[in-house]
Amino acid sequence: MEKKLKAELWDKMHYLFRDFNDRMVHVALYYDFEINVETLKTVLICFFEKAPVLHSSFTDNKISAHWDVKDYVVDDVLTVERVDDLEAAADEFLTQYIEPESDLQMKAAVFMKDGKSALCIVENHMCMDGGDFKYFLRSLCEAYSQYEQTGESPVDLRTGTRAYSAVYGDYSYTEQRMAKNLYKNVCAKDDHRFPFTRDSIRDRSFIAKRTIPAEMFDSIKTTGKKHGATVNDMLLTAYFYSLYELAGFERNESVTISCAIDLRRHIKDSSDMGLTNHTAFMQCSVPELGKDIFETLSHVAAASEKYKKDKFMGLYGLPLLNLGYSILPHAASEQIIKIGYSNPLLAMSNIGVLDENALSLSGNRPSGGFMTGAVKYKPYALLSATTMKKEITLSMCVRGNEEDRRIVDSFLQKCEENLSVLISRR
Amino acid sequence: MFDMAQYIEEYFGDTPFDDVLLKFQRLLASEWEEMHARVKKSGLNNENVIKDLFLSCHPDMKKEYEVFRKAELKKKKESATHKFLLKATPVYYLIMVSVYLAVSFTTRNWRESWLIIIGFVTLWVDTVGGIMIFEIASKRRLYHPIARVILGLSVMMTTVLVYLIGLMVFAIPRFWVVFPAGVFLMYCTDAVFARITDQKLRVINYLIYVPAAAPMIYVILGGLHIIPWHPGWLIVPLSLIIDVLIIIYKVMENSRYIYRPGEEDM
Repeated sequence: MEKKLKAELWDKMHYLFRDFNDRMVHVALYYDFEINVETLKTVLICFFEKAPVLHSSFTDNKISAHWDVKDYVVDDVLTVERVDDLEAAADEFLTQYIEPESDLQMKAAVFMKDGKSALCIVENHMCMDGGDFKYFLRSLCEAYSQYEQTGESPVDLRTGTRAYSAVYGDYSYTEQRMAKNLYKNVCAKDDHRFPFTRDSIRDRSFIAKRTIPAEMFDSIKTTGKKHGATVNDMLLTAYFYSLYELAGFERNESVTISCAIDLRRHIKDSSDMGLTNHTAFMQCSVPELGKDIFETLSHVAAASEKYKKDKFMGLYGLPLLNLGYSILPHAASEQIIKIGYSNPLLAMSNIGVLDENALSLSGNRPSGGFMTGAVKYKPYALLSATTMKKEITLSMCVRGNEEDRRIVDSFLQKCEENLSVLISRR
Repeated sequence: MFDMAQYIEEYFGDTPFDDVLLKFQRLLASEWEEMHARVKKSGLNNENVIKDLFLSCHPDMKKEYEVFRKAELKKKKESATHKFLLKATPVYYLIMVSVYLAVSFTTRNWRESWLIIIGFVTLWVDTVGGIMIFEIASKRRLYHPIARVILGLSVMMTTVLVYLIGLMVFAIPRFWVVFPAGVFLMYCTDAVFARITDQKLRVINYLIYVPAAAPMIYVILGGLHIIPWHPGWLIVPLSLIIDVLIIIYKVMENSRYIYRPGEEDM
């Protein structure tokens, strides 16, 4: 008998986002050795068995959506190729799209060249977000290493509930009642947009990225501390400042950027949780650009401070979404939620640190790598940031044309320049 | 291939053996075979890894067995009840016909003896309905409306029986009030069902039932001459005030749980 899995709230929400992005999460890790493909296959099969959503097909039967677990062969999951250009091969692989109705929700590739390799993985955001994807990668690398070195079976991956309600699990009864009372529509209501060209059927997905040199990381951190800001606030400031410049917004205009928040901050023990999504957005608004980038930074720091003081940060809107999905058939719920939901035109997701030690394969640390969010459809824009070896990789995945690529590249360059300005006055 | 059957048998070596344990062991064994075939087909050939993978999916088989046993015993109880009902029903109806004929021939009161049939049938419907309501209530919420319909039907059928007995046997005057009382009871039982099963937004049911039940109470009390028809009708607008009070109570109760950022944490 075919096994079915419940489609959780965030699975359905990300399915609803199909009009705004391709819902893929991408990662590329580069190693200065050749990955043992057979070991990797073993690990992948074990992990797929422990997280069956990764080999399931999403079924939207209009009444109630669910996942149908499917059989697969590992060769359909993992592509192995010898290539001339690792980065080009990785970029091409990463920009693929996996249909939610397909039998597999994750694809991996190992590209090899002259004793070096690139491990690339693309997965459907409906299955898990960046937070759990990072956990998946760490577990994968650890399992690979142990299997290679000691022969220990690679079976150590968390399993359990994928429900959104796990975020309430560690709260007291009163706090739970409070959190479940937060019926609020937290949608972005800002019309400012990234200066892309017009949408066209000729547009193709691409990943634009820029690496901020490791030397700048400590300065970014210390400068931020001096101004009561985090690294995230510093990146957001650079985003705001560069965007005002690039898009030509008036200096006195208020602009809002939605920032991804990891809701796992509300969960103390996640050992009994399966791979899933626990990400919400906070709206970070600056009332004006300010006379210089430092004033922008103070606006950003003040805005995020307001959120940080809120103990239910990110939990607003969840009860409303749950109500929307639980009282009506799936198709009707989608229509109703679509009426009340407006996707943010500008967003940022700081995925955080990709720990080089945790991502070592049999003692071989990655020489580089990044993780990035979904390919956004114009006019929506998402800036992703990951840090590895103190190098911050800023990336934007866009379905656009060459002109869009040029615009995004120049935006990322401006971000780096603005970060340099920020750290120049210490 | 690893001998999982032996492993499972040894694992449960100190657990009292019965058909429930055997069923659980069989389930595990077939799951093992299924997983083994599936991962082999996927491309995994290391037998030791396949074994560890299976065992990692069942880190505490004894705990799983406890849950399984509880569910299985409940299922067995339900099945025994169903079997009993199936066997007892023809006997029950045979008794019903015998009692009906015996009473009718003995008393020659054919005018009222048919109430015995109605009584027996109502008792049967209420018993079967009660069992079904109990079973459905423990299933997914999606099926709860079925239980609520059965509950309503049982209440109304009992009302009809009570009315017929009151009318035919005791000839109680103004006994028609039993019908509005039945409707009133139907609202009450449904509200209780919503409360017991912790139905979401059940306050909406209450807000509907209060003004819907008010005319019934008015008719019952008026019909029994407990209150005058005028100004007894005030019960109906009074129900709206009760609704407002319920709303105020809910708002006040909820306000205790409204989070205001910036205020001292609780």
